[in-house]
Amino acid sequence: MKILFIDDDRRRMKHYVDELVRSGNDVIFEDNVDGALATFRSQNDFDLVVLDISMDPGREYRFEDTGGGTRTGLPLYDTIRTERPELKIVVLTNVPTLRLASHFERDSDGLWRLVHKPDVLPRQFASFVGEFLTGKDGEEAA
Amino acid sequence: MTIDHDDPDSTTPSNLPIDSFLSLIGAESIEVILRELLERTKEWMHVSQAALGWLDLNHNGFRVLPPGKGKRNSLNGFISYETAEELGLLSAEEPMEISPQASRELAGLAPAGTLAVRINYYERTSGILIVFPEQHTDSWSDSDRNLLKSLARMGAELCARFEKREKLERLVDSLQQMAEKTTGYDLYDVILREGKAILNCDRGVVRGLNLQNGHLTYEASSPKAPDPFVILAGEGVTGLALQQRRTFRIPDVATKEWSNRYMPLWPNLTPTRSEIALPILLRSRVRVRTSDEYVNKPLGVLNFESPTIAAFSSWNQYCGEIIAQRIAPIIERIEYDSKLGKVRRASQSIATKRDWDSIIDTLLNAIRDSLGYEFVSLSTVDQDAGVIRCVHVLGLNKAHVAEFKKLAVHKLDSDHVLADVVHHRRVEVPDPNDPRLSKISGRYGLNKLIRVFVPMATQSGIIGVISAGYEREYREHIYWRDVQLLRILAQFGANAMVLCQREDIDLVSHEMNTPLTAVRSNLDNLRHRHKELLPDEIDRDLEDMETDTNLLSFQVQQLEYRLGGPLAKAPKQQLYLESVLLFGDIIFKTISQLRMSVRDQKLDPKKIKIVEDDIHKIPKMKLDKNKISQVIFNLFMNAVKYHENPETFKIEIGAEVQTDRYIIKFCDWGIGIPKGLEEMIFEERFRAPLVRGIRGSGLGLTISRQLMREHNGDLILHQRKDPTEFHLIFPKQPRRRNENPVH
Repeated sequence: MKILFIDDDRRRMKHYVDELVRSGNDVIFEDNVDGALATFRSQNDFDLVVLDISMDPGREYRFEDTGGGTRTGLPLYDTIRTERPELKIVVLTNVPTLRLASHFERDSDGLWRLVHKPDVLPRQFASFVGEFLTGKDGEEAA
Repeated sequence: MTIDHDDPDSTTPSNLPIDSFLSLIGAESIEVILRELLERTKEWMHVSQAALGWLDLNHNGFRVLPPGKGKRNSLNGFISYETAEELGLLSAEEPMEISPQASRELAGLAPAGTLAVRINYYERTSGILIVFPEQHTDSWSDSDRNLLKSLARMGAELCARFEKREKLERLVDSLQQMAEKTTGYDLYDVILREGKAILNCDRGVVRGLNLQNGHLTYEASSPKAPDPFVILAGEGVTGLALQQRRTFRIPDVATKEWSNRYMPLWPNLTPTRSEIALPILLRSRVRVRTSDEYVNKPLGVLNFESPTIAAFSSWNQYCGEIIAQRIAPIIERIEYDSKLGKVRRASQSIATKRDWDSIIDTLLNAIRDSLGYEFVSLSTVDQDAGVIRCVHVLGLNKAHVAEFKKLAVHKLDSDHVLADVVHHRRVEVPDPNDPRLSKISGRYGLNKLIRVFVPMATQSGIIGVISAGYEREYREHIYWRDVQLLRILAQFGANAMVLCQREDIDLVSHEMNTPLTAVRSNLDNLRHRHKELLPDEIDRDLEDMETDTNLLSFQVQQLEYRLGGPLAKAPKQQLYLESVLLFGDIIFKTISQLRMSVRDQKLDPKKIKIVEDDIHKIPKMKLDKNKISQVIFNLFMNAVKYHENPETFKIEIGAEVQTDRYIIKFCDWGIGIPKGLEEMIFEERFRAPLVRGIRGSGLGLTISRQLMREHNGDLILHQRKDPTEFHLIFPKQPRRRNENPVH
């Protein structure tokens, strides 16, 4: 599967990316919003996008629309969803997920997952992504 | 309004053909009525000559109706007001004969025995009806007098009806026009144009009340006043009308009674003789203590003036009062819309703020600037301490603010108004002498104000109370519409503060989870993949873990400070002193540990330089290694966070030896410290305006300075920018008991 992984913390996400690659995925990592959208728009064959929430808004989004950068992933999710309505997206963040979930609930359950980084180690995450992509993860992981 | 009948007891003579007047009820103009009246008078009084003088609003007197085609009268064209008054025509209730001499004066060649009666309605003499005898006669019969009186009364009735219908039609249309206006300028334009037309006068002015000082300020006039002026409270006819909350209709401002009070606005026009001053009052809901009452809210005064004596009838007054009454809610609506616009903009501004201090500052400034309050304060509820304390105040002398905030702390179980507002969750406007307002109010002059207290409610309860007020000399009340807007702003403020608290929690959670997750991730990798990993991959994971655990330790320390209350009140911590080399044991190590954080920010760690020649200038010193490491860490993290761009990013650390101290010079080429904030950056919770959305706790430099001072040293900002240079000062002499620090 081809995965676009968007997170501004390349160092700390290295093992997550490595485990996804070990699981047989083709992973393209982007550490900023502008670069990520450019890649996303130039390649329309991604099976999944993994994205972080707290990132610099870049040129694409306004500071005030992203909670000062603490919620950049939300408008980024909306942009990707608008351009690829059927694409599966995993939101992987250190931000407490409780107050984020409502943003995604308008979309079909099969299209998104919200994952709290402290809850999953890289190996677990790779396994989770595999199940999500094949539709075997059920509802409990969200 | 009723017609002023000259003699209600008199009866209409039976021979007066009233029916012939009925057709005039729908007359097209007042002139038609007057001409018919004149013709009927001659017919029924059996005279060949009669005249009718009608009030001329451009001149002081009565203009004699010109004769119809082929007809003539012997009267002069004009009867002056003074002449009519001298002859007693303006006050006589009954028709009066005019002496031959007077008749000659009045009517030129007219014979003696002239009989005249005034046409009076709406408390104004609008005309004079005069009949001339066919031959010299000593007196008119009672029947003749009654007939003339009835004719005048009939004329008055018809003219009054006509005027009423005409003015009402125009008034309805005018009020509709006024109601559609959305700006004061447009509204005043219509008021003056239509008001002058309805009241038959040539000049008018609108003045608005300045609620801060009671002055009536010039808003607009027609014609434009060459030199508009402000009217003080109670001054002139205008000020009197507002002060007494009633209309003043002055027949002649040149009389002794009024000449000293009248204030001419148009020295370039024919002098004003009569004036009508109409206070603009609005029945308004006000908050008094914890309930609502209604009062007349003064908004301004509407004036119309005329160069004619007694130009304004009671019907004019009635129409003017309707205009004043109806424009009051329009003026209020325009003002409210303007305030609402400001409140909306302020709310949007509050929503963009991301830290507590900015939210409160924006909120209180918006309340002051949008709603016109002179004093605004915000007190927050501290449930743990059981108190409500003032955290921000506007409207006090700056020198008193700190002291006021220190004193304005009230127990939640006390009977202070703030505590009551929190408990009862209701808006309250206490009497300024209410004993529940503490002595602090008197000390800072707040007892001169009328104040409203508005709770800031959230789902979890009341988080604070906003108090806003103004001097009550000219504004006795807190108006409910202002309270509504204040509540909107308070609600926005409360929501933003709660959101900020949540975001703070989210931020802390995020900041702590980030290194923790990374450590777990590296640990898991080492544990499960160690057989596959190369030695340098293992080293890199270990180095990452060291960086992240240090960062985590730093985050925990900051969190402890944040949760521990004000730093100034925190007990001094025990120092664990040991002999260390500043560069070798602390600075190098800290830099090494943070190298990864520099890379995380896409910066080049090679741009961190130590001035090598300075390293050996600093000998071993007795220091608490962990605490000084924390100072270096804080400065380092600030320099990384506030770099200007990766190209200009640079950190340089050097040293200098002075007589009694060693100085570590920490320089960075980042965005710098804004001018004027050089000392404020060390204040607890101070955060410079947000740059690139970077958020901090506002504690780093405060903690660092405190740690340095605990070592009997100091931390100072030596230079604001290019480079930003901090000096860490270490005394050469070891710290002794009871010794003052070097700062």
